[in-house]
Amino acid sequence: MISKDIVFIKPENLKEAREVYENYQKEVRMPYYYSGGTEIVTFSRKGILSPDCLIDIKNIKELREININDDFITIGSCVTINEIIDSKFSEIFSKSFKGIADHTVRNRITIGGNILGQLPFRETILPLLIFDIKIKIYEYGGIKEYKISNIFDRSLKINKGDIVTQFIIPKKLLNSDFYYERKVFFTKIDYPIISTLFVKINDEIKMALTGALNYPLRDVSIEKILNDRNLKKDEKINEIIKKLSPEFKSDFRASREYRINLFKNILNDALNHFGG
Amino acid sequence: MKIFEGFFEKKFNINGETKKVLIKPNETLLRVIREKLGLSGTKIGCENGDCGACTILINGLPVKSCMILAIEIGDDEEILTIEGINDEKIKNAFIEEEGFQCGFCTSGFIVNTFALMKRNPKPDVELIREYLDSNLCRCTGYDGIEKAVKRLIDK
Repeated sequence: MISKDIVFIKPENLKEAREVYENYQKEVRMPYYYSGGTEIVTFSRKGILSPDCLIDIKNIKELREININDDFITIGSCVTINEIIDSKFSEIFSKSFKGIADHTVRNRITIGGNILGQLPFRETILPLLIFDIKIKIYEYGGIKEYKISNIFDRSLKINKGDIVTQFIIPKKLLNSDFYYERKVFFTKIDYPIISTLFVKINDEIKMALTGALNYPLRDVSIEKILNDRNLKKDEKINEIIKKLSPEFKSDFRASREYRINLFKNILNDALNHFGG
Repeated sequence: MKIFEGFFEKKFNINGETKKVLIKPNETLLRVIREKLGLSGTKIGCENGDCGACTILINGLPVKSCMILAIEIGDDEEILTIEGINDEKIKNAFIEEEGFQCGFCTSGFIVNTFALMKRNPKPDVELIREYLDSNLCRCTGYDGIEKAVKRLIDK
């Protein structure tokens, strides 16, 4: 139960959704786009969020579909995590998405909600960053397409009221060799202490991680170290740790030092997986 | 575009029947099922999406009703709660394998097991655990619960 009266709106299309958002904002009433709702409902109950108006966009057709053609897979932002896993278009996606929440909750969490919500983990973004996919955003003047690397810096930089509509993933890279590791504090179902994905594309290792920092990260300078053929494995690990460890966080799930050690081990295992 | 504010009448297809009740947009499906539709088999646990005591099926998929607003449910969507599951095999397997202790979590586990068996009547251990990891038993009766599911597979 959300402990205040709200207005709930079901727009028919993107134009209506955006107009409603803007109208409520003008009235200084707090609107939120609503998809799976898992975060908004629980955060509102706890008093972390206080929405006045929820705009339910999950029934807008283009946001609900997975389309596969010869070159690309297009995923609507309101497709649920389980729908993506069950579509089995890529083991990289299936494996890295199965760690998120639990099976029942994954029937409601959507990929767009996971990336644009308040929680810092945003685990679904790891393969999207690695493949540097394209994102379609509905903004003033219609739908525009961006490379994720151009609009992601700790979080997705979009304007208030804009709607992420689709993620466009190049199909040819989806069978790449990968290494995924997700560590949790105690129970299997929990937020990650660290969650990492490595994918080898055209003989180069790409890496993204979340959980260890306060935001998800893919950093090409880290990948340069990973792929530097003049460095031995231990040298690569030490260089990367030196560069990234100041950003590592401590919280009740794990200390900074513990996270650093976990990451060292993961780097070692990943490099062994790809043959050093 | 549909706008919902204040009280309004909403139709639910629940356990094979159509019911109309007055709701407000801020009410969770869990509260509406229990307090307005009078189906108290769906339990209030954490109300935070962690415990699974409130698990129901929407169009055959298990979901936690504490994380869903009742207003979200479409007119064509089918809700199934523990009261609507007439599967004696599952209930008997839980009794025979002592798949419960205090019983508070049991309806959530049975609803989830029902969804699992509908999806795959011969699930492997990995799939069983993937489904049942969504539910918590504070009495820690997991062994009996897993045995109950395995008994169903053997049958």
